[in-house]
Amino acid sequence: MKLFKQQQRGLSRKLCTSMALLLMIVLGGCATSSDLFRDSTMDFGSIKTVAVMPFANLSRDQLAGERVRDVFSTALMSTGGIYSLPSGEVARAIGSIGISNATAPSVDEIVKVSKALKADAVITGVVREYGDVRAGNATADVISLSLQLIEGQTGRVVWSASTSKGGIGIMEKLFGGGGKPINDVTEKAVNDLISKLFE
Amino acid sequence: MTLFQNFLNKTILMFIKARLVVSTPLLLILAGITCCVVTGCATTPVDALRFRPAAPAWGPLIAVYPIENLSGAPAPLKELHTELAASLQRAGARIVDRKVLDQFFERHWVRHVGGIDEATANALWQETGADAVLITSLELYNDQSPPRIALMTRLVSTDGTPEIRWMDSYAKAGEDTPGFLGLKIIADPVRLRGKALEYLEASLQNFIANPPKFTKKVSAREVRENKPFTISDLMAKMKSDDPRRLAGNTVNTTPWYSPVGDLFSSQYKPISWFSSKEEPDDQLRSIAILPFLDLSTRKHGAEVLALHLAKQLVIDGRYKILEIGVIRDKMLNLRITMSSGVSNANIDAIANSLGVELVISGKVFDYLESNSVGQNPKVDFSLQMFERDSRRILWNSHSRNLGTDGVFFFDMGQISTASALADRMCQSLVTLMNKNNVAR
Repeated sequence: MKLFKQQQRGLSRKLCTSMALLLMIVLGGCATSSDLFRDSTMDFGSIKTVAVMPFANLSRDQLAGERVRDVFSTALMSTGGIYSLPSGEVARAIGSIGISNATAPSVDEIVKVSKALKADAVITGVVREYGDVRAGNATADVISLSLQLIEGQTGRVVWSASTSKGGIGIMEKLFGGGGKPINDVTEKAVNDLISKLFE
Repeated sequence: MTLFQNFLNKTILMFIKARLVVSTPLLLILAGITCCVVTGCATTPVDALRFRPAAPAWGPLIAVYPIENLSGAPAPLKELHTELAASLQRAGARIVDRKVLDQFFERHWVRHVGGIDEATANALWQETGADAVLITSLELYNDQSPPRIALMTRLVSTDGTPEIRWMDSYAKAGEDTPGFLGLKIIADPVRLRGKALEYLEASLQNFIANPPKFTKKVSAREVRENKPFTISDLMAKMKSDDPRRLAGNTVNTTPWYSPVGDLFSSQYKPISWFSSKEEPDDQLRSIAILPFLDLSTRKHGAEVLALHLAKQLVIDGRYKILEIGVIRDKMLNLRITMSSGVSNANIDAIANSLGVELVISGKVFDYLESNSVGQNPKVDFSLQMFERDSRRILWNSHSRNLGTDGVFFFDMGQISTASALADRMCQSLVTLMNKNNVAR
């Protein structure tokens, strides 16, 4: 009888341990790496005017940077919270200051640009991927984008986030099809970043 | 007796029997109904709406400019021009003689026929007596089956600073309305051309005979010029740079339903837009549409889109639209080039030299025509409207649509040309601007 009880206790311990291990594995799989940085000391409410700099384009599409920048700029303005300066005015400031690489400006250049444009902050970005990806027979459009919000007065990064949307999912792998069009995917990615900025 | 003769005899006998059964009054009633139905189908003759060729002594004297080719492909421009002039003349419009116009072109070295600048318009008025210029742009021309055509015409005043008074366009593919068993398919490009010219002529005639009546407003230019200039006013305008915060900071995107009014929202609305809601509606403001930045692969895509926008703004009638040729000329004179959009300095230069209150600029990302491979038309553009004094953006939007976006059931609602698609998008855009831009 005693032996039976000891065996039962041992079994329940093993069961508990295995359950705990299983739970850890499952929860570990759900963990995501954070793709958002937010300076806790920054008062984001004070940012009212921003200058969106040309985005760096690492994709095959030569116009991807300009397309995404335009969609982002319009979407940012449409929130009603932030005024995005016209791209022509930003280009004029870049030219007058003499920034050689407008997609990756230095701290000094950012301070100069924001002063020239009377902007509270400057937004820079990188389009890492834009276009279709293939996996076997399936093809789908994908976008990968990361942005940085840099304070105009000091030139320090106060917010940074990245997002990836589209691509080949289970449905595309199982049933084929091309996924959503690139423009829809772009819109989704931009809205995701804007919600991260305002959250 | 052959089989056929037998059948014929039987048919005649059956008819005689039926004639005996069906009484004469019933036949009379049937005949009456048929007459009524057929009479109902009759349409009023088109000639009743036209100018009277016998007395072409009224209406403005029009100088018909040669057609500008924006299709990016060869097209029979001379034939089109001759047919357009003949069509207007047949309808009774007063037209400046072709030789007189050619001599004027030679005298003034007129080479750009896609627009007219102020000096040329005034010279035309003084030398030929033309009250208006009819400027036509060919957007699309394909004479291979199924033929396709897209034409855009505008009537520009020659008195003072030229303004667009009337504008209309026609875009159609031969297979747009196939009808029952494809009986309505137009395979002949000349016939399609004729239809386009007929439509434009009727529209112009309707404008001249029944000019649209808009509510009279005070000219914003007059108000501005009569108002004494003070530094404090200017500073107050330039200081008000706090953007309005909308409730919840929600992104303005097109919902699948319309919150108010019509049940389903337009498929062709911008995908996202910003409106400052600060534009007063009490004065008649003039707009300068600057050349759009062309990032598309379509030749003249930006020019065509600017024309579509101008058309919708002219139809809307809330603004005075400056002739595009005047803006082009002014930009050339001021050496303004815009490599990546309009800057504050550009807005100042253009607004001050042309005396306009609003400046529109934009970017065209895609302007794709449909082709034989099954490619749908695609138009993608963004637009910004600036205010002259504050140089701030009053309106910013991004529009993008495919020709299949309006398809609800099978192929119903499909748009076959980029011209028609751009037209719908601009129409929705102007409607949305009106809904959102009025001061509240």
